[in-house]
Amino acid sequence: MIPLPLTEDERMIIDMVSDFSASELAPIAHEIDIEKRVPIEAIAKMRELGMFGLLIPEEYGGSGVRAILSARVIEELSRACAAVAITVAVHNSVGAFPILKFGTEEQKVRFLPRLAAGAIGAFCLSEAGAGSDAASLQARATRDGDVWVLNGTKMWVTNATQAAIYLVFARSDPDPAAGHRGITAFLVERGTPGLSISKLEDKMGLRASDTAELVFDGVRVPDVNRLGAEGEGFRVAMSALDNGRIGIGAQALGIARAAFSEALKYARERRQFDRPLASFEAIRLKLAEMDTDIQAAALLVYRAAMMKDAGLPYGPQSAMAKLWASEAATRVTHAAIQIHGGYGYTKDYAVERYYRDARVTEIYEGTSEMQRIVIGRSVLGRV
Amino acid sequence: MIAGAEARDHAAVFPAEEIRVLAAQGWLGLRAEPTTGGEREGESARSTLATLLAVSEFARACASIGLLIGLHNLLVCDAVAEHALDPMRGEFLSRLARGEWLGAAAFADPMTARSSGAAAVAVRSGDGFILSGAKSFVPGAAGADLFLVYAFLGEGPGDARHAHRERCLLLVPRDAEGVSVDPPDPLVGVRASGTATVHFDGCRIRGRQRLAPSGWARGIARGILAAADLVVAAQAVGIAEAAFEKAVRQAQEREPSGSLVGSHESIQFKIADMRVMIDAATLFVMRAARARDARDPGFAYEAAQAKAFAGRAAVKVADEAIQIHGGAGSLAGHGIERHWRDAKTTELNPSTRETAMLAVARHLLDEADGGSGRLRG
Repeated sequence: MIPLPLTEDERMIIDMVSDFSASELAPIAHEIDIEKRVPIEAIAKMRELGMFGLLIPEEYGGSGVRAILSARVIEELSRACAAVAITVAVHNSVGAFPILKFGTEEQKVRFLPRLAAGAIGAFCLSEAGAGSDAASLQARATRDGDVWVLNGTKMWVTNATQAAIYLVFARSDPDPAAGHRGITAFLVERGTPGLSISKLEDKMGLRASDTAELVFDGVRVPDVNRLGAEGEGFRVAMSALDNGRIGIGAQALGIARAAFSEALKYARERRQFDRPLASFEAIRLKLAEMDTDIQAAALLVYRAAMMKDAGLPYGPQSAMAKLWASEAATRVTHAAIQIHGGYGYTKDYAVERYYRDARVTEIYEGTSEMQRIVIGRSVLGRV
Repeated sequence: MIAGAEARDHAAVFPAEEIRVLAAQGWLGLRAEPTTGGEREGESARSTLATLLAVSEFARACASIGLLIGLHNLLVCDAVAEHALDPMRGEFLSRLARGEWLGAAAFADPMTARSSGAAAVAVRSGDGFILSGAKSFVPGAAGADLFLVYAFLGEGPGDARHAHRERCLLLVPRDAEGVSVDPPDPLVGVRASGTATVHFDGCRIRGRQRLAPSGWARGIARGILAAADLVVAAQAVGIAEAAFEKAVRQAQEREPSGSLVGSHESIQFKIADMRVMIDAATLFVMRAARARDARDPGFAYEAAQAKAFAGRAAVKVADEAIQIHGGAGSLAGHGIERHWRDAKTTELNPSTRETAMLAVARHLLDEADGGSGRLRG
């Protein structure tokens, strides 16, 4: 047990989310994965429960919970359905949070209450040629009086089909030498002319989460929708990702916990050679390694969240949390399938979905390689 | 202490003088009540975590000293404080906490070709016991003044072969008649820890030198061994930090082929993975330390897990630290291979990593069983 410094109210919120996950998400997780369907009804209920206002302060209509509670909520949702969890995690940490951190008071008043009420946010950074190397993005923002005109194509946009507000990063300085200092962030409303979905991705996992390619073709955005200063976009993106990584770590942790619990259950019930699997030393050691991997992930994720709550710099710690938790989730779900044997390779058991869902946590919001660069640099400096 | 650590490791010399200095500074009284003479006062200084932080810091300089400080404080002092009977409790604790005595825990039965003699058996005699036999792999034996001995409780010599017999925990001063200590074992790591076999040749033990009444010894011993797991986990963190520090310096300062070692992505990634493992190991130690102070029933599980994780982390970190040093890392006296050898012992002491992980598994299955013990094994 990892004792977290949570209040009675915070524990009640976790219990509520846990109950909701078990009763509303777990029963549909398999079917929405197969059907590749965003569960609109379940998401509507989550709106009512206030899960889209977790990080937004009360004055803007949210609940303004601490990062540690937000991480626990994502973890609980992920145990039941990692696809729905990422909808919430992306909305909260890279959709709403950057507005809270970089927005003007006018922008906060205009956008945050809507986001808190469940108008979903999306984050548009990556492009076909700019993944880990986000600073090389090519989408253009050209000024036309009080309006910016956006042109370009964005990839891997989570929540793309359901979002009401898109946070978009584009190059506002045409000088190629400007590099990451030439990028500016904009808030784009759904339905703005010129904004369209060009391709819905058919993914290995998280199939009930909508990921798409978005085309911006002469999309006109008023300057009052610019988030942060001109040229500050890359900083906005990196800060959002520092925060987002705690959420991905929590998601990976939730998936791993779900896989472990299935593996433990199966190992106790399944008999071979007249003995339960759990009586074989190799299986016991596998379970112990899985649990240890998970506990390490939990300790690292909770630490990053608590450091954020304490107002301390937490960039390297959130990178560590994301790196370990995501790789642990892959190891743990892999082992969970192994314990299930052939059954684990079928869709009759949830472990194959956990395995597919876990894999992307090593990739999105910064690949494991990028996390290692962040952590390595925090120790060595720029060598 | 660091310069001396290299030399002591090389010659496998027990750090008697260093322990004397540390004792004078109060480091043997970390756990004691202030009234019994311990130098450190206040709750925070006496928490398990505070003690373990000291263990890690000492282990960073010298893994043997870190281990000795940890075992003395968290195993011997705590066992005496909690379970010893008066007047032994007051007398022994005061000597231990003031640093007049170094305590050592003697738990392992002889089982190797090197360890001669039968397992230690205490036979009732009058209101006390006669202790005969040996304990092996006793860290600190070379310099200890008081042994906490986990012995069989038998009717006569040679009884030790019977399984599931009663056990007892005895406090045996080094200068008791019949106690002898072999020369230190030639270990791969923690070579300055003075780890040796201790022989008991018909030692007369007074009844009050026994910890706790009949039937309690096994349970108390489990708690002591869990504390030993935790001490070794904290020691492993210190070893890993020392190796990491040297690896970072190597990466930042050396340019063996015209470019800084650390400018290579392969090295940056190694450094990142090392840092994550050390951080996680530290968090495991903190978690288990809290469980011990809170008398949480999950403490033994958390301690075993901390030891298994931290030991593996120390081995991997020290291994990569050598790799980052290249060929020079393999040179004795270069100060890096020592950490590698020291780290390996943390996967073997106080019991193997496999033993710790099977204990973790047993806990997980027991929990899933709701304590029915159906799959106990």
